[in-house]
Amino acid sequence: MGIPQATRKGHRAAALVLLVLIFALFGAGLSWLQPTLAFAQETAQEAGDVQGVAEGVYLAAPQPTETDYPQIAGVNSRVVVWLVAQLHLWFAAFILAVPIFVLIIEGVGMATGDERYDKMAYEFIKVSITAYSLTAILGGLLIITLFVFYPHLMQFLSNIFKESMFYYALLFFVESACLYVYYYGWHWLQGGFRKWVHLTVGLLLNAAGTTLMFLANAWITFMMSPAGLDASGGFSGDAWAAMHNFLWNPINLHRVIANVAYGGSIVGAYAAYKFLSASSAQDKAHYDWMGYTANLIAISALLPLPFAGYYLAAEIYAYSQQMGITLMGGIFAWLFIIQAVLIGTLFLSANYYLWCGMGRSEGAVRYNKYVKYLAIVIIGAFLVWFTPHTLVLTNQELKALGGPYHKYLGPLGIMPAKNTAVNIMILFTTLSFILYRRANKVAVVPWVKAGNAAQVALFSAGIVNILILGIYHGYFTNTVYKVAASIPQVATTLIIIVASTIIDRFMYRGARDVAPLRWGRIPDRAQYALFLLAVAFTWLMGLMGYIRSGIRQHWHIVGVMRDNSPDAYTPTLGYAANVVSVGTILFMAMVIFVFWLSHVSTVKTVPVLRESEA
Amino acid sequence: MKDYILPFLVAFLVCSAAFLALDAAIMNAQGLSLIFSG
Repeated sequence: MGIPQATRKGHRAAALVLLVLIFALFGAGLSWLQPTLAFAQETAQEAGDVQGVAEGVYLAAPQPTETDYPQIAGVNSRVVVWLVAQLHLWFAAFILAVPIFVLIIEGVGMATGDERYDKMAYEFIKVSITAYSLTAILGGLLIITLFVFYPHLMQFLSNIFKESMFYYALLFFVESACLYVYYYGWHWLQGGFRKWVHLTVGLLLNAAGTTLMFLANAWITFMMSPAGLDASGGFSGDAWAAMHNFLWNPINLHRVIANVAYGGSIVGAYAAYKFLSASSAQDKAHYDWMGYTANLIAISALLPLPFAGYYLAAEIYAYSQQMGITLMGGIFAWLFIIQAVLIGTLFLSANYYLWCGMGRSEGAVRYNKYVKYLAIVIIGAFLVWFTPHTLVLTNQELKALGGPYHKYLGPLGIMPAKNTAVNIMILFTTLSFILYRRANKVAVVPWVKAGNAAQVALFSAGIVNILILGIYHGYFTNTVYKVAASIPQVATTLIIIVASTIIDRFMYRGARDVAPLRWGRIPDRAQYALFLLAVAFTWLMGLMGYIRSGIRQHWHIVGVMRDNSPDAYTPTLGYAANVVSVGTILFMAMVIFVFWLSHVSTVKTVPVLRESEA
Repeated sequence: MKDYILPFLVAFLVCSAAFLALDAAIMNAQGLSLIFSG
C-alpha cells in the first residue's frame, strides 16, 4: 500500500513547520517571562522572601490584582483557555492512546502471522497521524493563550517546573521522530528482524508519549495539591517534590486507562463511518471487524475506569475534605448526575453494539433469549446510578413531597446504591461479552456442564455479596463502613471478571465454530451506537475535566496563589455545560475533518485526457 | 439437570465462603470488622 508522494511531502512539511512553531513558542514564552519575573520578584520581596530573591530560586507565589491580568477587548480569557485546553486534551488523549493498542494489535499480528491485524493496526495509526498535527497546533495555541492571559501564573509554574518543561519540549521531538518512523516505515520495516525494529520504535513512541503526559499531569495536579513549597508558599527548590504531588499518580492512572477507552471509541467511530460509506461486501467486512476490535478495546478499558475514577475521587477527598465535598456534595454534585447519565449511555451503547454483533454468528440464536434480561438489569442499574439524592424543587413541591428527599427514590441517591449499581452494570457487561464470544462456539471439553454451573455460581455468589455489602453496610452502618465496604465490592467484581475469563478460556479451548463468522452482517444502527460511544465519551471527558479544574474554585494553585482575575468565580452548571457542549461540537467537527482527510488520502483521480492528447 | 445443580451448589458455597473471607480480610485491613458494632 503506497502513500502518494505529495501526501508524504505534505506531512513532512507540516511536521517541520510544527517543530519550528513549537520552538518559536517556547522562545517567545521565555521572552515573555522577563517582565513577569520582575513582577514576581517584587511580590516575593513584599512577602519577605529576601533569600529566595537573592538566590533567584525560592520565589513566593505572585499575587496579581484584577488589573494585572491582560485583557483583549471582546475576548473572554477563561473561555478561550478553557476551550483550547480541552480541545488539546481531547486530541492528546486520542493520539496517546492509539499507539498503545496499535502496538498490541501489531504484536498480535506478528505472533499469529495473520496479516489482517497488521493492516488494521496500520489503518488505526493512519487516523491518528493527522490528529497528531492538530494536537501540536492546539498545544501551541494553549501555550500562547496561557502566557497572554495568565502571565504571572505561568511565570510561577515555569519557575518551578522549568526542567520538566524543557525536557517536555525535547521529548516532543523524540515522540514526533518515533511516530513518523513508526508510520512511514511501516511497510519498509516488515518481516524478521525489521519487524522487531518496528515494534521497538512503537514501544519507544509509547514510552515518550506516556512520559509527556505524566509530565503535563504533574503541572496540573500541582495546581490542585501543591507540594515542594515552604510555609509561606514559596518554592523550596525541590522540583521532584512538586512533581510528585499528592494527586499525580491517581491522575496518571486514571488518564492512561481513560485514554485507551477514549481512543478505542474514536477509532470505533472511524470504522463506523467507513462501514456506512463502504460499497463492497469486502470493505464492509473489514470495517465491521475494525469497529468490533475498537469497541472491544473501549469496553476493556471502560470496565476498570470507574474504579480508577473512585480512586482519584477518594484521593482528592483524602488530600482536602473541602475539595472532596465541593466535588461530589457541593455545587458540582449535579454534574455527577449528568456524568452517570453519560456513563450509562456508554455502557448501553457498548452492550447494544455487542448484542447487534451477535447477528454475525449462526449460533447466536442459542443466546438471544438472554439479551432481554441483560438489558433489563443494565437499564435498572443505570436508573439507580443517575437517581439524584436531592431534587431541585419549588416550595410547593417540597411541601407535597414532605421534604427534599423522595420517600422511595431518596435512598437510591446515596453512594452505596450507586456503587452497587455500577458493579452490577460492569458484571452484566462482562456477561454480554461472554455470550458474544460463545455465540459462534461449541465447547468440546467433557466438563462443559460443570464449568457453566461454576460460572453461574461465581456470578450469583458475587452479585449476592455485592448486594449485601451495598445494602447492609450502606444503610445500616455509619459513613466509615459505607466507604470501606466499597472496596470489597470492587474486589468482588474484579475477581469475577478474571475468574470467569479464565474458566471460559479453558472451557472453550479447542472449541469448534458453529459456522464461519459473517463479518459485515450487522445492522447499520449498530454503527450509530459506535458514534454515540465516541460523542458520549467526548462530552463526558469535557464535563469531568471542567469539574477537576473547577474544584480549585477561586485558586490558581490551591491555598497558594489566588485567582484574582475577573473570571474568578464558579459559573452556573448550565453555562459550564454549554461551553463543554460547544467544545464537543468543535472537536467532533475536527474529527470529521481528520476522517475525511484519511479517506481522501486513499482516493486517486485519473485525469480525463482530451481527444487531442489521447 | 443433576449435572448442573450439584456443581452449581458446590461452587456457590465455595464462592460464597471465598467472598465472605475476602470481605472480612479487606474490612480488617481497614481496621473494621465485617459486622458493624456501633
